[in-house]
Amino acid sequence: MSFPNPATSVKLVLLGEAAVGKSSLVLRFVSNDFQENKEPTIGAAFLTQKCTIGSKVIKYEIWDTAGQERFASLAPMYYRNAQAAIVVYDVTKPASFIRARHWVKELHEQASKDITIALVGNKYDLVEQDSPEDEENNMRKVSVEEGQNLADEEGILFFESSAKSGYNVNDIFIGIGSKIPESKVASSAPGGQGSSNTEGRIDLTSNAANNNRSGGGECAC
Amino acid sequence: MDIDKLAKSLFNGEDQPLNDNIKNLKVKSIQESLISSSSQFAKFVEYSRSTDGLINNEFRSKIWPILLGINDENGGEVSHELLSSNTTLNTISASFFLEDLNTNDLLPHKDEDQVKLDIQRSFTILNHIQSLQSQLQNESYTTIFSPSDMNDLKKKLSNLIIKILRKYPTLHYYQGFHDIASIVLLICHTHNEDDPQNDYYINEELAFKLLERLTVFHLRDFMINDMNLTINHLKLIPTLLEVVDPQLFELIKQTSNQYIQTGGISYDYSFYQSISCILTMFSHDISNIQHILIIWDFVFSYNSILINPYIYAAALIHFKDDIFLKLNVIIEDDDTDFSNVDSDIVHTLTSPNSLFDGLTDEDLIKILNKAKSLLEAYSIDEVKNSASNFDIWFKHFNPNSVLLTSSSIKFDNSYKREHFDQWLIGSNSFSELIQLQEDEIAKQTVHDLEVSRRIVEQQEELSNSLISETDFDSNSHSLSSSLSLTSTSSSTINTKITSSALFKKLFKLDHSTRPTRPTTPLSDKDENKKLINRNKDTHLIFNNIYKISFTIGFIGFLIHFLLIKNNPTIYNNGLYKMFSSSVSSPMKKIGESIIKNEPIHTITSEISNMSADIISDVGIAFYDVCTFVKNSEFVSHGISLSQVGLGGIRNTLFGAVS
Repeated sequence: MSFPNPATSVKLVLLGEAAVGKSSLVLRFVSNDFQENKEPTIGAAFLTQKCTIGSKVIKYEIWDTAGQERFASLAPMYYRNAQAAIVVYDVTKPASFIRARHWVKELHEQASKDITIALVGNKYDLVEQDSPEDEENNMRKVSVEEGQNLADEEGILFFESSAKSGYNVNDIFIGIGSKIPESKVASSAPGGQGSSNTEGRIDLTSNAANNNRSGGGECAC
Repeated sequence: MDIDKLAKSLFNGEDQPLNDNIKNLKVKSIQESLISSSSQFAKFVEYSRSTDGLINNEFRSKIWPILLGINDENGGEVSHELLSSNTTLNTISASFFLEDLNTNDLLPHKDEDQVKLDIQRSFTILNHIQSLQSQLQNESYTTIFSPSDMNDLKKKLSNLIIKILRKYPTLHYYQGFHDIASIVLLICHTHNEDDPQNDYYINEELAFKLLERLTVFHLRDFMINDMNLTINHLKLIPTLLEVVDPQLFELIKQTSNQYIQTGGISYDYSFYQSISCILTMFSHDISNIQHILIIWDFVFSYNSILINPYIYAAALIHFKDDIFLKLNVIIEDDDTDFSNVDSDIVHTLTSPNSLFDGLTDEDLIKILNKAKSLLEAYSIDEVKNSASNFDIWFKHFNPNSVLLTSSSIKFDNSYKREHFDQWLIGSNSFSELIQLQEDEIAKQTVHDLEVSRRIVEQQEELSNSLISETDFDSNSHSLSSSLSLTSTSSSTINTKITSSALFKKLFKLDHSTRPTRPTTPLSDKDENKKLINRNKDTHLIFNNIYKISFTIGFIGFLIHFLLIKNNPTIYNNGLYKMFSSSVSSPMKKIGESIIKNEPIHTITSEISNMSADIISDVGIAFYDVCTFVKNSEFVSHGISLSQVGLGGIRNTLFGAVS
């Protein structure tokens, strides 16, 4: 496969409470696969995936972090140089939404100033069957409006998605890719590695990503 | 006996898995040792550390409790006077804890929801059982688990963990603890000889005791509230590499977060990528359960989790060539510069996922043998960097860490039983211990913050001195232009002198090689080390001053020689005076500041400034001399002055540096 434009690297970090589906979103995006009971992530996992948006090709370098609260102290080293972040919550778990709010706040305070953030309410498949009349027994505990309002307040992107069905997953990455300013894509965030130029970087897809059992190839977007 | 010796060496094959004959021999030896009434502990240790470890789970369920000090050497349970005392906890049989949590009156633990979440969505136990079944095809028994068995197993696993947490409420559950618990549960699973219909049986009491011992004696550090103590354990991996494999160490150091962010001023030995291996004793990242069990045999034979960082370091060394190949880096010597290597890829290649992916039996044997020899050759508290690493992270700040107490490699089981079994009663003494450990690590965190504050200051000072170096650049530029006027043949030295980087190199005190040392009073030994380090810095400065003086002297001599030979009158024209004054006065100043013990960086920047002045003076003088020589008949005689003279200077000046 050949592309008119060389891929530009975007460092992206996933944050959110335990078991909201961070690793599953990445697995869906990178390998178009889903595991019903995905093992908890300990520490962090690194994966890459290319994504074509219009004429530009973005290579996402994804840091998937552990969700358990006690690993939160490790998160700064993964989001510090990130150009993009996905903050995930579970639409059936109000506590996870509160946690997401904290993450967005922390990112605005601690991360790079021009980081592109997307708020994602995952597990949309669980609420598809909800009926508007029967609010009592509905699975959904965080409404679309609540999510949208938080995103608007913070000036960030908002999606509801399902890693299980694949609903909206690629759209998150396309949305982030379209919002990231062109100039920001070319150069890493300040304080990044010694060589921030894309040419100097080794192609991750050939080794690192494949080690993570990714099906590889391009994303469908 | 000779046969014993023969057998032992056979069990430790040539980095190959044991063949069937030797394996059978080993099985027989282990069986004999188990029924023998004499002391067999040393043999169990030997079997555990040799190739293929304890072979099967039946042996493991009997020998692990002995290795961990739960049972005595003959397999009988050690009777604890402490344990028999009247505590409600011990009057309840562990076996029904796992069946139903409601039968005890202990309060629920705050992390129970997380436990249930992790067990429900974890594939680990299922994967392990499945791989166990495939591994056991030729063993005496195989067990088929039905979905209801699976649910039962998950429930038992969940109850096992919750029981431990409720008994030790000051501990915090971490993701990965469930991996440890699932391995323990599997080992305690045997087929039921009495009841062939219901063919699986779990010795829940044993499972509880094993996990309790592991938790309280070995994993405690990971279960206090503060994660920084866990981070300390991870730091031991680069610490070992520093003394064992400088190239791998440099790779990890130069691509580490702090090193990059401080521009090479500081390195904190952080090694987060290994966290899942250290937390789960490799059970989270290795897919082949036999490999996990062999590693656990090995670890338990030391009765210390200190061996885990050794195993990780050994794995990195074992796969070193692969790592560098994938990075496309060719190593020339120990000083290879890794600043262009992508730190994310290094992080990934040195993380368990990629390291242990497709691990073969042979790889594992080699890694464990390597770990064994590393431990023998490099004791963590005796290696040369221990004073600034292990001694501070553990001996100074965290003396109650498992590594210095119940999981110490230096204490035997009877010592550990005597001193630490009291914690197992679940009395207040354990809560106090945990509180003490929280306080200890909090002190270290405060100290670490102070260190990073100083690093930031240091960075600011450095950026200030960089500004003065920019001034110097403009000076050297004028020098270069004056020199280039002189002669084209001296262009090589021209470019060399104009390179301010060279002067930086000449004068830079290598901050990166000096680990940041805490200022809190430490042992005398450490104070001495600091002093030596300081002396080394001073020595370096004098060395540089010496180099410069020598060069100036040489130039002076050359000019003197030329002038005397050609036109003695010019000698009196003040050239010599100018030289001597411009050189000696700054030297005096530097000397004074050294005596006054000013900070090193002040002196360095002063030297840089002065050297700039000196060089520009030298340049002007040179220009004068060269113009003079050019105009004189000397050159027409066919001797290329600049070639000979400058060549010599260049060698003197740079020979030692480059």
